[in-house]
Amino acid sequence: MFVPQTGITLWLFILGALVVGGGVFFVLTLVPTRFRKPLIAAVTFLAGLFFALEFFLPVATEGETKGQNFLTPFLKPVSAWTTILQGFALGIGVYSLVSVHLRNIARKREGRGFSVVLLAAIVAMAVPAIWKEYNPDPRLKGFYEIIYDGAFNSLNATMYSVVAFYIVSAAYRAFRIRSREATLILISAFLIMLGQVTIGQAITNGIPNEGFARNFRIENIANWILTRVNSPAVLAIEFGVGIGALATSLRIWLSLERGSYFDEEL
Amino acid sequence: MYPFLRLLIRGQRIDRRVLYVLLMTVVALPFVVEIPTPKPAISPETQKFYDTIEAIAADPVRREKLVILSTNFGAGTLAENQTQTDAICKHLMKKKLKFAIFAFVAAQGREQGKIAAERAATKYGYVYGQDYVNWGYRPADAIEPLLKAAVRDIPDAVGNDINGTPLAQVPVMQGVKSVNDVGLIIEVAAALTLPQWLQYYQRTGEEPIPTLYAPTSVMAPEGFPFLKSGQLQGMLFGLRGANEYEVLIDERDFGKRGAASLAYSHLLIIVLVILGNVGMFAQARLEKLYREENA
Repeated sequence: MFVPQTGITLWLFILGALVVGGGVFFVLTLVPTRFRKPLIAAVTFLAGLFFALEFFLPVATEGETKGQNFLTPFLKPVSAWTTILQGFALGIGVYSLVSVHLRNIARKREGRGFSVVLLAAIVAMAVPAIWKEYNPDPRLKGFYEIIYDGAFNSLNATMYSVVAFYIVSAAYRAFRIRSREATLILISAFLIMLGQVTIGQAITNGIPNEGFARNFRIENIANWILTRVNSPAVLAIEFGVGIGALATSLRIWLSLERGSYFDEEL
Repeated sequence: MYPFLRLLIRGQRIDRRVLYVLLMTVVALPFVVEIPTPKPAISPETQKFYDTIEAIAADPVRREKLVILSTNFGAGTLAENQTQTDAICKHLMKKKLKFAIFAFVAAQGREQGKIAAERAATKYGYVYGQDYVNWGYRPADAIEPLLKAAVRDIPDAVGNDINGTPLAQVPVMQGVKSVNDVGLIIEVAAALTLPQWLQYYQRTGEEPIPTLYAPTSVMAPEGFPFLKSGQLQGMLFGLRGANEYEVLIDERDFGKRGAASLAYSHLLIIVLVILGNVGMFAQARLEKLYREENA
């Protein structure tokens, strides 16, 4: 049904999509204010309904369409539409970011130097990254690798690793034995930290790793804490998160959500 | 008075800049000079991870199927996830298994997977397109319908590889049509991306696909329930798991030095916490002594 097009047909399809899309956007701007929210609610409901029906409706058990219902063939185009919508979201994000920082520079606001750096970084990363996709010149690829591996990756990893310094500082100041609960947490933290690293494991290397004695090896104690104590707690939390996500999804799908953006005048 | 107690009290008031310098030193030192550290004890989950790939490689039917290597991480977790990915690529190549790199949460994942594969490819004579392929990146919000569509037709659902070549025309994808042609899923993750594979792909074929998980250390506890339920066949627990895995595949690399760095930083934290607590008790003792003297 949705076959990839090439050549002149592709351009005609793009042109057609632009005309139809532009027309739809124009019609949407004409919708009276009081109908806008119901319209969004209806579109949201229909979009969600597709996935719900596709998931819950019975599927064929034999034949060419085994494992499918009548909505299953539409999954691929829906996936493509979602990707296109993500592309629009990215475009809006870039537009918003660039316009805000261009304004900072144009109006000579305080900290505009950071805006210049941000815009320069966007251009420096985006241009070679996009260009190399369409130009096989190895020098261009080399330049991209310098920017990506040499700068971006290192800077990104550095930013993340700064967290370690705060963790050490916070652990040093906050881990105090002031109650029985704090003592339990401290002991289990020590055991897990030692059980995770080779030097910690070496403390009990002399104990045989078989029979009853293996229970006294530090890595096995750490593993026991992780799998028998921590794991049930993780399951319980995830169960709660799952229920919460289900409730939130239902509220959004049925347009029952209130607060922040949902109550704004359109 | 009480000079020893006063000395101990200072242990809870170490300046944060001193802490930062100490941490920086213990983290960086193993990368500058080789500091001998004991061999790691192999954890059960790492052993299972290794055994699963070995079992697939030894099975004449399953070894012909495609391995999906999902690299959902960016540069922020390079130390853990890149080390895992490097080791996994080496193991897959050593065993001559064909694989596809794929990312759907972190756009950088497709690049990081590519970097790992290219690093190992020269040594093991792997050629892009012939022995492995990179499906590229797809947005996270589109992944669920994509995976569901890929149950029946992978080349049609995924579309093109990172070079824009339709998957149906990539040599390594010949004979790979549906979920039944996938022999293994490996998820290298910096975010919770495992459920997508478990919910929408793992059990949709004629038989469940073995699934392996390589998360960062902070995420690893979330993997244990899936290991226990049998939905996961093995797991690499962050950098520790990567180090153990390097020992198993006999390819010592970043994991070894990284594990030394991790070991010394853990020891530093333990020593600092002990110093802080000793200082706190010393202060309480000193205050009590002063109160008794003044009474």
